[in-house]
Amino acid sequence: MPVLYVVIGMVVVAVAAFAFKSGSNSTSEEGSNFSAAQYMNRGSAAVGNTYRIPATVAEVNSHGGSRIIEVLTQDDKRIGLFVPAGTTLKSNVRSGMEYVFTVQGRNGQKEDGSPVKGILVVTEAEAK
Amino acid sequence: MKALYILPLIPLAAAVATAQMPANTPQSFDLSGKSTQAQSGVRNDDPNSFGETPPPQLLGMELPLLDPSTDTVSYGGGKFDVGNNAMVRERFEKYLNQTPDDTEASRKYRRSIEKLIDLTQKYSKNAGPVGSKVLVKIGMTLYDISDYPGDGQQAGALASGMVSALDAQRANLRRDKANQKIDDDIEKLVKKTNSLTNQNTQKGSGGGSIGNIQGKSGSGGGVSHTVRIAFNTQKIAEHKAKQGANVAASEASLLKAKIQYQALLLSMFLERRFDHTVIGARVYRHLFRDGDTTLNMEKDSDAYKMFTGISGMPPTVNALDSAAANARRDIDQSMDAISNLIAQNKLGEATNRLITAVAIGEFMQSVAVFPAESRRRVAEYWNLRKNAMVALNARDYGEVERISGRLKELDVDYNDSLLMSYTEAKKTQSDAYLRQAGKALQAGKEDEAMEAMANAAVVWPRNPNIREARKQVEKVDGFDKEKMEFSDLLSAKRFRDIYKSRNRLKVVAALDETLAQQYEAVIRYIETIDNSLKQFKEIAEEQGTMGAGMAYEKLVEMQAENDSSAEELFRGELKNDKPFSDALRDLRDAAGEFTDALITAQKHEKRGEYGSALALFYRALELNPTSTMAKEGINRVSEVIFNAKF
Repeated sequence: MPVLYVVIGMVVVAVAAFAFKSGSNSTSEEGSNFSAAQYMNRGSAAVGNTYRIPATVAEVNSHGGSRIIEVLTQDDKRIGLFVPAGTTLKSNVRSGMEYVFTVQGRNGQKEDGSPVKGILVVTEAEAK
Repeated sequence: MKALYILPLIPLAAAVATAQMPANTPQSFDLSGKSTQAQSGVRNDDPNSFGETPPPQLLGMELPLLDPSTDTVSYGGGKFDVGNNAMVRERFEKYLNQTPDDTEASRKYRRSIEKLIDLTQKYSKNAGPVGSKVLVKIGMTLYDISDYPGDGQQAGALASGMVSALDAQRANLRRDKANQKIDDDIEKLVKKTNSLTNQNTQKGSGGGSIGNIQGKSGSGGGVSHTVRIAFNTQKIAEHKAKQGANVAASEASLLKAKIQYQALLLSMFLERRFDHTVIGARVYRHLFRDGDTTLNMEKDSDAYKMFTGISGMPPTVNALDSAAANARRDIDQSMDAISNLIAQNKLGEATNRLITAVAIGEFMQSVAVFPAESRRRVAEYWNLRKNAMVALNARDYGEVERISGRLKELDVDYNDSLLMSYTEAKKTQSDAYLRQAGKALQAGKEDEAMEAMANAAVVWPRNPNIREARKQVEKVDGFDKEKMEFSDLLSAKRFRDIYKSRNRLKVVAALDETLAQQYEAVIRYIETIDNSLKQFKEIAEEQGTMGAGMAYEKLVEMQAENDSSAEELFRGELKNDKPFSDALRDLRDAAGEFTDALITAQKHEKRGEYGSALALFYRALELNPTSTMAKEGINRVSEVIFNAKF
């Protein structure tokens, strides 16, 4: 009988862990855990999370190897996704095309040390 | 004629002499003039005389000296300007205002004078003196006409002088007769004495001793006449002495009578009684029949030298006669010329000549009967000239011009160039000061303006433009309230209130240059705001939310510019302008989501939420694709992200 309790306990823990993980990291393909409206309200809340956000590219703004991709999310919100220089993506990102962007919420820092909060950094882009 | 140099000074001598000289001739008969220095008041050793020689004397009377180069006369220690002398002017003006002396009495008087002159002229041609009957007739006529007021008792004085001279002559005649009788007595005494002497001589040869008063002689027995002879001799001596005394008395009396008569003639000459001088001079040789007409003065005396120097003739009664006769003729000719000048409308020249003619020939017939109308015309010209001087001295140049115009009408030869040039220059100078005052007033320099106005008034007190300038100053003074109100509002930066009262407050612009600039700046500031608000309101109305968004952006830009404005007065004040702040709010509301997105994006940017800010700027641009602020926001935030380290 004690082993059973151990197994049940392990299942509970696994379920809880899974539930916790899904609350903080939106990894669903549909990006349903990512809310553009909430992001626009407070971007720093996304820091530390990973999201998969399906969106259409509106415009790409390049600067010194880095890019900021203006995307239109499925809820008709425009947000900016940052692709640091040196990042290799599976797909070649072009305006007007749909992709699923894997992004991480991060805080950056200016030269003077002041924070640059709530930036969605692209780690992967898959064409849809 | 040189003698005429003495003539212009005569009225002065007459006017001044009557006040200064004694009424009678001086007591001293020292004709050298030196002993009368005390009477003249000028001495050689006078420390104030500066070494000048004393004035010349004639018969004890100081003679005025004319300096033709300066037209001044020295008399009694003073100098008088012939042409500009108050006494001369006063007499001339009195003459102009008098009625011509043409009454029956005056005509009778002048006829009598002319008859006397003709009579004396006739008898002056006689080889010998006239009889006493003629002299008596002349004297009686003189006494008759002396009642005429215009004669001034001169005829009576002349007649009395003649009587005195005749009295002296009669006294001398009596002394001559007395001497004649004395001669006869002496003759008788001499004969008697000679007879007695002979008798004594004859008896004395018979042994008696002459003069033996005792007479005790036994020889002949005759009486001696010695005593009688001595008595007679003494008597003869006494008679001779008496004769000598009579002669001396006659000489002295004659000299005295001559001097007195000559003094009378000279005083009449100096008093411009030329008619009487002529009459008196011409009867002189009939009164004093020794043929000597010399005026009694010492040859080396200053008076002698002066007279001969001026007249060019030795000082004689005839010279006086000649001078007086010339004066009469000259005056008559002058009056003729004056009448012609007046007829030709040359009042200037006529007036100048008439002054001289009246000054010299006041008592002459031609002067006395000068017509009233001619006097009136000269008086008008004279008064205008006087008034011109008064106006010039009072700096009333407008009046000077008016008078000058009238003078030109009266005198065809009148040249007003000098006068007009002078007055124009003064008027221009006064107006220049007023312009200076006006500029100072505009610049708000009231003290300078007042000083310039004062200078203008000093130059030309009756400048009509001064009144206008004064009104301007009074106006400025009257706007102190507005000036204060404007300054208060400006200090409180209540520009909108200034603008609301701009019509009333615009007067401050005329008071002060600084205030004028400030006033203009406030008006311009408010009008710029209002025009912008109107324009943006129209855009918002026409283009809906997008237009409102654009207008809102423009207003935000305006405010940002104002916050960093170079005009310190208005810097940062735009947000305090109610219409502006109301418009900003209204447009923000009208623009709705756009302005919300923009404002929120800006807030996020400030908090460092660059991700959110970028997203909202995207949204604002989506709502208003023309939004400059959205584009700038996107660029700004993007640059931050590009340069950040992650």
